[in-house]
Amino acid sequence: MKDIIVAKRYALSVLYNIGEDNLAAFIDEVKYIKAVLDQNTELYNLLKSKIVSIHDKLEFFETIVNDLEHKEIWLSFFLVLMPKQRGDILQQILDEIIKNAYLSKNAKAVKLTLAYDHDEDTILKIAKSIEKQIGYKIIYQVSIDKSIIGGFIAKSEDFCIDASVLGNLNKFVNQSITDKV
Amino acid sequence: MNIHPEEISSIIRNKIDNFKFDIDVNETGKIVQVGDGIARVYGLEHVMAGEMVLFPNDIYGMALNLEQENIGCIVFGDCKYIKEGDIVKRTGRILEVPVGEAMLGRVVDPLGQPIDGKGDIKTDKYLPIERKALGVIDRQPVKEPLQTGIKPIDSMIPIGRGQRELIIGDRQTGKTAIAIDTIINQKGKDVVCVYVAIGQKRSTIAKLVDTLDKNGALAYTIVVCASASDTPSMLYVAPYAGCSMGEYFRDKGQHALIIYDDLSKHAAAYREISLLLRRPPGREAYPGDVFYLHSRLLERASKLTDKLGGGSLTALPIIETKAEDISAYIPTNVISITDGQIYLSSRLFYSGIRPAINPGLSVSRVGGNAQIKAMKGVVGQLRLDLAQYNELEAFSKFGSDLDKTTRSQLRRGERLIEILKQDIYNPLPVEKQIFIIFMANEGYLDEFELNKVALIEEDLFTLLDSKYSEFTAEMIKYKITDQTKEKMHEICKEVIAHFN
Ligand SMILES: Nc1ncnc2c1ncn2[C@@H]1O[C@H](COP(=O)(O)OP(=O)(O)OP(=O)(O)O)[C@@H](O)[C@H]1O
Ligand SMILES: [Mg+2]
Repeated sequence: MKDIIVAKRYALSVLYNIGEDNLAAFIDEVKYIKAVLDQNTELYNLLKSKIVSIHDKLEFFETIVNDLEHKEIWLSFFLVLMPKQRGDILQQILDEIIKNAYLSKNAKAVKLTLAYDHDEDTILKIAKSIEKQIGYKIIYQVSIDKSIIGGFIAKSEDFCIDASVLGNLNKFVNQSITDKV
Repeated sequence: MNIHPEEISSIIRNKIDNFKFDIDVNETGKIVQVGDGIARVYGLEHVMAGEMVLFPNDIYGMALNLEQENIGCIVFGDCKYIKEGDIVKRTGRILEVPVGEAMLGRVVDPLGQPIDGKGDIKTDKYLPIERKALGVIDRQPVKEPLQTGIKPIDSMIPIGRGQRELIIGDRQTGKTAIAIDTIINQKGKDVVCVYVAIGQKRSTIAKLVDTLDKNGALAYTIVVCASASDTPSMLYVAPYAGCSMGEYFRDKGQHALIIYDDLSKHAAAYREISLLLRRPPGREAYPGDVFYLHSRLLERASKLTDKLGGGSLTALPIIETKAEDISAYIPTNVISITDGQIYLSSRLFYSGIRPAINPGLSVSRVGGNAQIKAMKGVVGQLRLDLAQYNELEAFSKFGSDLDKTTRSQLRRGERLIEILKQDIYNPLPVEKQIFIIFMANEGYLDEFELNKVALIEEDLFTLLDSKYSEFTAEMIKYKITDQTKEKMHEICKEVIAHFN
């Protein structure tokens, strides 16, 4: 968990090299690399491994980033990361890059959990109300979880909004237990 | 007890009717590291210093270190229920404790939760544990006495309500005994007492609560207990929590007394926390703000102006010294903050002089104004005579031939020391103290052997109780006049007559 702090430093220094105009494209690249690593766990394990030589790792990594616009930046970033044996926090660094890029545009990534599927309009309304609460724009990702019964839960790195029926029922039970009758 | 199903369902229905669906918005962070009662949290960017945070399993913590990339919290509870990666929530509140009349007679932990098995404490009043000490305009000098019921203290080191008087001495010299006697002596005097036990054994605390109960003192006392087995964070907040409980009564215009037993262990707990939080260590490895730790606590003791109700909070902090070294870091700090100290010496204690107060090293810087006039009238010579006696005693060990005045001075001194002895848990009302000191000062005891003194004292007290209770009640109200003195001489003679 301490790695978050280290990851944030790497992320900020990578972002430092990206211009404002290229940010959106760069984030797409980050997401792409993330997806590749997610899908190819063996590849990621190789990158993390302390036995594989740096040279070999670089070759693997190059195959991933070869077609990307910011190839140079990615490769030099990788060259800094690898000798320090920090391959294991690559995923976290990518997460931090996304988070900090959003933050620089005054936005936050939010995981929005709903009890069942809503239409676009309703979700947009919910998103608007969350934006009002936290004072940031949100970039959300919807997931469905029937167990919350109704309402929504919005979770991000640094806040949690619980407007679910489940949460309220839990609160009701807790209050009834602690209240003196 | 009869339980009616209809009643219960109506209560539940009522609850459901009144329940409001609301949205819980929380700022959250993640635990980076946890252990030793300390947690480091990533996130929570807007958290305030001293703010309460909520860990999973309803465990609370307090943010102490706000650093660039993480915050350091102390944890009030078992760290084993918290793990890395857990979510931490801000509460937006400063740590508060329940206060009020319902706390009286109870034993609570530093967060105000009962630990005496007598059920819930029903109070809806809360105060933050860290409150700013009152300003200059809100205070007035101490003027009413706080009777401890202990002869050497009430006569030579008088304590006033609103004063801070340090009790200092080695281990096992009767420090706690003085504090407990003082609490017992507040019976019927409308003084609420708070006893904060910091880092003591649970068995000791249980015994102490039992003593208070047996002496009928528990009813007006709150015992705040952070025992040796509690985490350092609990020990750290205990005195502040106790102080807030006392301040509640002070702010209502009542009088309160608080005892911190003891602040050496409090400082050690704070040192532990600070080192774990990686604050730079200073002298004796205490952190730089260890002075402020105690000064801000003791500054909260005060006597309010009449406009604010005239209430008071008297503080009796206790410090344990090692090998009588009062120039160590913490003792010197606390001595400089308080309005005087009662110094207990183990040499005196083991030579049978109990309470083992050393009058030469003890002072009360402000209590003199608060001492009752009648007492002032009789103690005049006491301190001087004792000092003289101590000097002569050392001297007399060398030579055998002493002149008559020296011999009589020695004799007087021995008797003064004898009458200042007092049994534990046996506080004396002030009129009796005045009488016995008067008797010794006037030389009535000089002709008797030392082992008779205790008997004469006992006889005097029975006589006062049986025949002269009205006179003594009047006597302590005013300055001692020649007329009263005459009457006092008469009574003394009456006692002496029993023994000739
Ligand atoms: N005035 C007294 N007369 C007789 N015995 C006393 C008196 N005062 C204290 N004692 C006894 O001395 C012992 C130590 O007293 P006490 O616990 O008050 O000391 P302490 O300084 O608080 O010790 P500690 O350092 O362990 O906290 C106890 O057994 C107590 O009964
Ligand atoms: Mg003690």
